[in-house]
Amino acid sequence: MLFNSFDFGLFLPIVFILYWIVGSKRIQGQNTVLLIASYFFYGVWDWRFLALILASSLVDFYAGNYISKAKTQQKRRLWLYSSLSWNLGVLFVFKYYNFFLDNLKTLFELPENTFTTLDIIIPVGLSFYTFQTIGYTIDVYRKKIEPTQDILKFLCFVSFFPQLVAGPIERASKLLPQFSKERSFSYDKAKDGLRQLLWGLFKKIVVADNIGVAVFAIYSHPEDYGSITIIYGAFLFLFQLYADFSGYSDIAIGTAKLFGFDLSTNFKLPYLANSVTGFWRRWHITLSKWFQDYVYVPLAQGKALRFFSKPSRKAISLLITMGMIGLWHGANWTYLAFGLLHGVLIVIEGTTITSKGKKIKLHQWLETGVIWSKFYTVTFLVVSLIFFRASSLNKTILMLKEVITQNVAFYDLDLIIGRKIGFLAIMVIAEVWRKKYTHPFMKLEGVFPKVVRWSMYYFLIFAIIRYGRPQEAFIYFQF
Amino acid sequence: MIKKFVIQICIFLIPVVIGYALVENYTRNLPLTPKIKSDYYKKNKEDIEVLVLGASQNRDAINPEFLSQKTLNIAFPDQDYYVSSRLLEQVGPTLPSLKTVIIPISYGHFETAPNQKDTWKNSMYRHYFGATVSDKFTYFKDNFLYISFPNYYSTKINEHKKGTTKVDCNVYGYNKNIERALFYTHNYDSLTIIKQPIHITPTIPHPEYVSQNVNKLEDILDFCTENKYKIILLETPTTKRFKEQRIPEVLHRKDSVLSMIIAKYNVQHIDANSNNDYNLKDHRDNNHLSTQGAEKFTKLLDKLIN
Repeated sequence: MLFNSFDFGLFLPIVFILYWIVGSKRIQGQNTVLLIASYFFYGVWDWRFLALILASSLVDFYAGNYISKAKTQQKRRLWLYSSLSWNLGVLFVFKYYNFFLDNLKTLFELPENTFTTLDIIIPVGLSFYTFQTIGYTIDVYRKKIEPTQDILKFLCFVSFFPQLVAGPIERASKLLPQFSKERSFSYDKAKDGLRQLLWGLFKKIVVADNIGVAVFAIYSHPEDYGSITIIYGAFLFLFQLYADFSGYSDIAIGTAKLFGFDLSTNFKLPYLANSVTGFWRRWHITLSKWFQDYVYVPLAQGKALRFFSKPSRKAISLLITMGMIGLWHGANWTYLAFGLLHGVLIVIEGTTITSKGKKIKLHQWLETGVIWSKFYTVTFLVVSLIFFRASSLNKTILMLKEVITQNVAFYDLDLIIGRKIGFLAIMVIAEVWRKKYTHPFMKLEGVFPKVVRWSMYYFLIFAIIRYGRPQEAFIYFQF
Repeated sequence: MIKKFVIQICIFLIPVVIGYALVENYTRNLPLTPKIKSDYYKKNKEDIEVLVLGASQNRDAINPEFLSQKTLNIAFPDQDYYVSSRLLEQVGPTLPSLKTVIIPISYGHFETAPNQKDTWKNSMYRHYFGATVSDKFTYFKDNFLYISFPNYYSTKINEHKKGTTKVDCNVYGYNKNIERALFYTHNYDSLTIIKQPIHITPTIPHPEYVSQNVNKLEDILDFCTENKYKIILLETPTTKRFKEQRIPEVLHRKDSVLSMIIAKYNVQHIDANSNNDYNLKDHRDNNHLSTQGAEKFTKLLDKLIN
């Protein structure tokens, strides 16, 4: 079920009423409502994948418990590896198996029918919930958290519908205890959640989907357009991706607030960063933190790369981590290239320079706010996102070549999204103006009288209905 | 607290619901071609003898005004065999005098992706002809027109308000307005027209769609056979340039399917495309007939049917 669908508009109020009325004042009751709702929400896409999410949940629930009960380090490690094998195995089969075989065939020039590729679709949100459960098991292994004994809570933690299919990727230490706490209805929290949800819908339906029309046209046939059109398309995609994904996160966080939950912030105006390093501290924060804690730190501080010097170890760990972040988005060389490009820049930005007699890292110097550092960051993001969006490396190279070699004519005037560009401006101005808050409508009471606030909400609803396009899936659902 | 919250939301939503209801009502009463066709269908249900299905080529080629039998033309842009079969199964039984069904056999019909997803036209077919063409579960929202494609209907509302609606329909819902047609906008100047790109579907072969589309066509033919409807497989005229741009592989597959269908079913095949004597003014663009061309073509069709 998509957040931007009419179905969700019916589903949410029903679950909300059941949750607060039927399950009121009983944690088990509320959790049961949430679990049924979450499984229904997920099953609407494809009920067969419910078995997969249930299996993953059970594997990690029992693995966590066995790790905690194990008396020797060897046994603890065995249970950890069992859980990791299952989770990474599922990810590999569904997401990377065909890619792996195809490349193996190409590499060794094997005949077409050497391997049988799988005719399967990737379960929605697989990468998100798998990472959440992996994080739980590793945290139990590292003794950072105690494993839960309540299976209902754990199933809710894995499948909580607001963040099930596209994050934020929550840590067990943050989300799991919330299923144990008594939740009573808070008028202010619910109101705030609803406002954030509305803002997210606006970003997704009005801004992202309308920009997406031009982006789709340009990226589908870049050979038909001139340099300016391609640069224009690359810039538009920068905003489309942000509006789409951060819009989703706003809807997820807002929806969770309606049920009394707090989810992690996933975006902090990433395009205002002055360095690539800074960008990753503001973009898809829960994913980069996950990779930092579970991949980068163990690599940089562990034994695997002990033969290298400390700076080399850090650089190699960073490149591996960023390459994996790239591949997390999908089995395509374009994603790997995207991740590695960012990795290289982060490594370079990690070098020490001397500024005004002080030794500081390059990214710290960039973050001091030099104008051209913003220009550098945005230019790099625009270029690297061509890798992210293009369907293949060949297409990326073609687009980059065309930027330089094609004539600059702006061929197709239909690609100008016209007055809808105004919505993009509204989004940018509102978010920058209210950057102190998690969303622009937070704590507006002291700023505008009720009539102005309500007028703004009505305007957003009008824009959603009037400028909504036939339903488009969220970009990050495919990951 | 929760009661207050729910009441506040309800109060907040009242203007939204009222506002939407007004827009929806306005949309439903717009004099669009589907509405005129729907009015004709409702008034003449008992007497309609010919039903035209298919995509925009059939919509533009057949003007029921020039057919001897009462004809309902519910061909609409992008209508594939899947949608046509659903329309036939649901609209056909409401027409007690129905004798003939006209189905397109065009160059691209077999290699176009079967349109089984939730397109905005589902609401249109549902509202105007009472037919559910989508394979999916029918939702509450499918009963609304405006929300199915706000951009399209908003443009139509604005045009209607300004009096610039580009619809000039006869009672059968055939739109005679060609102001937006490609050839008309280029003043039928062949030198300018020849420079315009040709939109030909499919642009690349899609053999993977063929079997699904053939199955759907066979569903239509089986339904017609069961109900003793006369079947006409129709190829409408296209320009010489259009014909030259077709992919031989796709064309060959289409011809093979056609031969198979003709051998298996009792159908009348009318090929108005192979040797057509239609001039530039008879066309809206490379694969659609103009009002003038439709008159010429429909009169010929009338002779062939009878």
